[in-house]
Amino acid sequence: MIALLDCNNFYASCERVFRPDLIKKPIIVLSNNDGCVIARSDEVKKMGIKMGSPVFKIRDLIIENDIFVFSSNFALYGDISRRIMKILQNTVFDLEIYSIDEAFIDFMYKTDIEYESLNLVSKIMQWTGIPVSIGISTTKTLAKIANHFAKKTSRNNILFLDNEKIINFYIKKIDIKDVWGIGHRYGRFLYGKGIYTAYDLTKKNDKWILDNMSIIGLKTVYELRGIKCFELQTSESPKKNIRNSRTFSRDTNDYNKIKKAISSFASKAAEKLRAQKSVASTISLFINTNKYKSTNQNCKLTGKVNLKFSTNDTSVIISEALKILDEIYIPGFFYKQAGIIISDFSVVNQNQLGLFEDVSKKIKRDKLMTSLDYINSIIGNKSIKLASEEFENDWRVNQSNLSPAYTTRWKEILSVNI
Amino acid sequence: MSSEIPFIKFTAHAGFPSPAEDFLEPGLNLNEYLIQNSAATFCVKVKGDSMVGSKITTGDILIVDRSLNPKNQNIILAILNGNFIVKKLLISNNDFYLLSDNKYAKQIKINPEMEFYVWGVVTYVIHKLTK
Repeated sequence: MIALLDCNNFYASCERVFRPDLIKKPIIVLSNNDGCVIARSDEVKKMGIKMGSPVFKIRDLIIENDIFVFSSNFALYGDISRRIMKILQNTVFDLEIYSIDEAFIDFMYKTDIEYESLNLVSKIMQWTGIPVSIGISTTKTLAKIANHFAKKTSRNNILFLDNEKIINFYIKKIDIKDVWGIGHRYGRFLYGKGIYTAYDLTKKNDKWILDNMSIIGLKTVYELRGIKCFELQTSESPKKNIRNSRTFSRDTNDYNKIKKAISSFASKAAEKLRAQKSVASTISLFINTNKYKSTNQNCKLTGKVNLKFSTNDTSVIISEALKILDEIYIPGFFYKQAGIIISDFSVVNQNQLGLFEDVSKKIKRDKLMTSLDYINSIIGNKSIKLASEEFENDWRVNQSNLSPAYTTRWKEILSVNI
Repeated sequence: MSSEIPFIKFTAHAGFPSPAEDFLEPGLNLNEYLIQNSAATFCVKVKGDSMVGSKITTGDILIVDRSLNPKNQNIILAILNGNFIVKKLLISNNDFYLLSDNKYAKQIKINPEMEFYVWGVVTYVIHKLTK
């Protein structure tokens, strides 16, 4: 049996832990730079405000309904997430941390899984103040569906799908677009073929699925039929790609500003890469214009480079990223968002030296990077950086409703009048 | 909460290696002493002197453990009608009372109309003695 534990309205719930005056009040949390809605309390969901709504479109609703608005406080959410995952690590047999607020759980030898799940829900609520729901079934894909309905219909936030009858009941109810691994692109395609629910898809034959949806699609269908295809990725398996992107506080046509931003992202990505002891050989870049501005053409500019030698060297990754930027940048547009993705990883010591690579230089550079990470780790993040990176952090400007970092900074801990 | 483990590497370039080298232990770790359950423990600063009898004064930092179930006579951080309070909890005959701890001590009896729940149990007070 596999369970998916998901925190309910995670960011909004984190804010509420330290603001008891907001219990049962409507709360939204905004993306970086306060652009759009990324979390909603139940009260807000009932008002019909959608995930991802841009703030300027719902300003009137916010005022009319006295909705409390928070900027995203990732120092807080990250810390609360770490606490919850720690509780799980100490309680369950095995787990895969799937995102900041979700984990797949393997209960293995536990006999009464429903009872264990109830315990877990109340333990996490008591210890951290965060409400969670748990969906349990035979595969990851079905556990995801169970969780979807655990939140919506279950009284105690737990839904156990363990026999064919009940599984069929729910897979007939779930929209094919909401099935894990299907998404909107395949969803639209399947709608066109008259497939509206997960159940409809399980009735298609394997060949049709393979022809139209690739092997991953077929695995998803097997999982919906109750056959395990996706295992728990339990050991801290290194990430397969690292993505770093952000929305500008204000749309910009300033090339230098974008260049600095890209350099900072590249540097952060290189640092993460070194932390997991990997090297990468592909760098991709994107810059997007603002699709909500009518004066602007909505465009997504992307570029990619395959490196001759795999690397995790900050300066190499920055310079390659900036080369791509030069190629894809179109002057005159106002850009809203920029980001970098590095991929095609291999482990450091498995990485063969390139035939024409300068070995002594490479060893020196490796030492330099190690020192850089070491110094930044002891005197604070980003004490040393490359000159092309940005010096003042331009991203944090629009965080007008940021709550304190209650759990990670002494100056900001909860203060109580007694 | 993380803790830093001091680590000194004795490298004897000349002279004698330290006889303590093989016995080096990490220093005392206050987290280890003050925090039994790090996943459920939070730090909270207080203002006001209503709990001075329990040695809690303005500016002190409370260590609050949410995993403990509140018992009679515990100091608790609680929520009463939407506000945080720090009080001593008294339980008698299934009734709950909240007690301030100074000479003007007021006692509040919890009744079902009140919105009340315990946020966590205060386990330690960090009180600075030097100015």
